[in-house]
Amino acid sequence: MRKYFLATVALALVALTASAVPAFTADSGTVTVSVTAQAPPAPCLTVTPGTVNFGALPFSADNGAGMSEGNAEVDIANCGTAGQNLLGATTDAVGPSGAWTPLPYLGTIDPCAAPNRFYLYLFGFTTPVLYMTATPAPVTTTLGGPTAAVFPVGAKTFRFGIDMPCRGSNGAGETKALTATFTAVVA
Amino acid sequence: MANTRAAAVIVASVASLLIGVGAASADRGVALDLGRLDVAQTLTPGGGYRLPPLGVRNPGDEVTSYRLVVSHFEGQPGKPIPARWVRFEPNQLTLKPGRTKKVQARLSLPTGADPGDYAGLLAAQIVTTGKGAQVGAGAAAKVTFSVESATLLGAWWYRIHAYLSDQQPWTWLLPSLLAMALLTRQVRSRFAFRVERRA
Repeated sequence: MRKYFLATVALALVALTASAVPAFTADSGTVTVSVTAQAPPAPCLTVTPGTVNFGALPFSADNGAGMSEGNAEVDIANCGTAGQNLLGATTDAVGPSGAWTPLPYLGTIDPCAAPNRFYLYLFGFTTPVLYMTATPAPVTTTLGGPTAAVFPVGAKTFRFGIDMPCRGSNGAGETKALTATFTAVVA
Repeated sequence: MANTRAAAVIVASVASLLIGVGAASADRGVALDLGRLDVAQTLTPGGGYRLPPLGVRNPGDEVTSYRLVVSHFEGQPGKPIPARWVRFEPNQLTLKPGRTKKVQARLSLPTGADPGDYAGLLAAQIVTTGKGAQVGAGAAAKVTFSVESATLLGAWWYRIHAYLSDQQPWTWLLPSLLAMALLTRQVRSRFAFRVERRA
């Protein structure tokens, strides 16, 4: 009996000790870290519309010579109290027969180097034109460089452009789905 | 002529990004009440850490659903934060226009976490639904922290500590109650008490 008693007391002590260290500011659960939290200004963003229509487009052909483009207009607004950086990224374009992968701009536009690859880009907003990929990248950049520039408070209208994949890609007759996401980050 | 007809057939049948445009005038958006989190302490592999809550607000004019995600961005300093290290509670929410809800973020470092500086984004993103090309918005807080190197034993100690902390108050309440019960039993077996009204 005495052994059980001592074992239970020891267990209680171990549990109490383990719950008390390390010496961060602990609350009733996981350790709470000390942070430098930047209060307002805080990021805020609205977009209109939530969907865009590129229409029915043919596949591209012949190394850009027969490239097929479409575009659609979008309004985006910084509803915060200060300028912020804006990041843009897109998912694959997905349909029943497979996916198309978004390509970055690498000095030339060539959707026909391989099938099932497309370009989604922004114009009327960015300098230079931003080709969106899966990795969030600055939408507002300084002229001639990749440095993020500040998107001021207020609204801006721009257009999406798409360069269709090459002939032989999957998805003929389908509607593909993709999501282009803009993320506001305090500058 | 044959080529023209073939081209027309292709145009009519090729993949499209044709979508039905919904309520085109509605604004959908997202806001956070925090812009940046720089963790002051150097964190230890195996540790579990509670980050300050993020307030997610719907600044738009329609009911909108959001998901909480961890991401990184092009050219960021430091290593990207693996998504599995961060847990949000809740990780998805729906807000009416103008409403705000707090989301708790918890960082759990695995015992084998590489030491170094980490950076990333804690973001609330609009959940998009439907076919076609969807345009989503997100608001993100930049987060940075450093992980120190630790021995395997130390990392496991922090892991056990994090587990016990998560189970509080049961990790101390149950053993304490058991200890009290055994103590009472010990006392009762060794001493006799009788409570009587004073004459």
